[in-house]
Amino acid sequence: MDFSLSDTQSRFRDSLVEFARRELNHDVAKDDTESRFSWPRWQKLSSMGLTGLCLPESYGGQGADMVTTTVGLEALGYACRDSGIIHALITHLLSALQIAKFGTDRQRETYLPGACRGEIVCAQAITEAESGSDAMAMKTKAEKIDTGYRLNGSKMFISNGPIADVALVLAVTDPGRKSLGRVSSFVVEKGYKGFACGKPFEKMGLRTLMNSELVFEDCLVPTSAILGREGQGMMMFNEGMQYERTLLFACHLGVQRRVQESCIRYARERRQGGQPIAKYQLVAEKITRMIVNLELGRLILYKSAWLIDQQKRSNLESSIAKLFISENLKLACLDAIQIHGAYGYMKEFEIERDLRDSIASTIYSGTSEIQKIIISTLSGL
Amino acid sequence: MDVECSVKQFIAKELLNNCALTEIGENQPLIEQGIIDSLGILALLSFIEDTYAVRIGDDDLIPENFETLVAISAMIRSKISARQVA
Repeated sequence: MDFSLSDTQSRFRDSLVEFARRELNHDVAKDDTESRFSWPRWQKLSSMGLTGLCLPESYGGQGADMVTTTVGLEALGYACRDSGIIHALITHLLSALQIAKFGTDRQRETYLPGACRGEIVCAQAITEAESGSDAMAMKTKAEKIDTGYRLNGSKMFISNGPIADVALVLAVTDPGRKSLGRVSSFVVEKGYKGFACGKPFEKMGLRTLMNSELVFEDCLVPTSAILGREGQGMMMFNEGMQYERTLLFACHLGVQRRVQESCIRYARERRQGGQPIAKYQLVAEKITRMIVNLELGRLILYKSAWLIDQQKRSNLESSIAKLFISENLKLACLDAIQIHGAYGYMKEFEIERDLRDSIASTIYSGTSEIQKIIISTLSGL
Repeated sequence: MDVECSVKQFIAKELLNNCALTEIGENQPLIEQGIIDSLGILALLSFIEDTYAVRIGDDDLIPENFETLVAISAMIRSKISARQVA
């Protein structure tokens, strides 16, 4: 067993940290206040090839394996203070990855080169107003017609919705069937008639990530827009979740490390009662808990990434990683505010933004409660 | 133990709370009846891959391969054959 990164992976991580600090941290607070997605930051990510990080080299991507991709996203989460844009990047990568894995040659040729260059932004549309955790209770329908399918329904809270050129939309194609085989996935382009996007939602955190409703009213999509086979949607969803619960939470590990380092620095500098507050055991205990949780979160997350690279299933490990990292990121951010005292509560210290950004992590990609159900089911309970 | 029997035992024990094996028919529609659902399929895939040392790839992840005991067993056997040829 070898826990070390290769020299290439270490260099990649270091170069991304340096890049993010130099290029991605200007005006983040302002963009957060104004709920604005930063296209300049997106273009910088693209210029580094990161919009094609784990996409196939044959289509212009970097072809990085899951462990290397995890290294890169952890580095970005650590060094980039705009968590919203990193979330947008990962959403884009996960969606494009679905096309790479399940798409036809034509779909890959149509979308992947542009996606790798960052010129085609991708999104996934699964959640609906009345079906969140129970995603397969969705109501959006895709009715078969002579020329393809007619989509009707709406999707809610879709990350990248307002900026996406292409959305992978899950819709019911066989309402008479149970969950498996009931839904299919479609590649829907922004310009398709009957496809509309709502205004970006105002959110508590991740305000630089754009989320919106996507509406389909007699939206006609060609037969060639189906991803994989009819009825394969649920199985593709399951496959995709292993990647999502690994990559999205790699970025959160990076944030957790940044928050932890900020706490250590502050606790050593800030003096009360004639000594650094780090010397008070109740403060040190909070930071110790962060250190333990970060280390354990990293182990399970990298195991999940490694399993995927070994062509093995990581549904259990990715769910554990998702649950553990998201809950502990939130806890670390709350403790960080407490350690920084009134300064932590001020916008200037930027920890309050990390806390706001962390809150949704126990909700998206399956709530903590859902992860516990998955973990118990896969453990034979 | 043959493939069909082993899969049947897994389904009876893990997905149907230890029901009697006679309650599962070889052509019983397992997906249609909700016996294999969105979580059950994850457990079943892990069982198949761990037990038979085969990989169920993206192309195999279609409902037709999991509809019945017969379909599941046929898929597993074809994977085992492919592995032995390789």
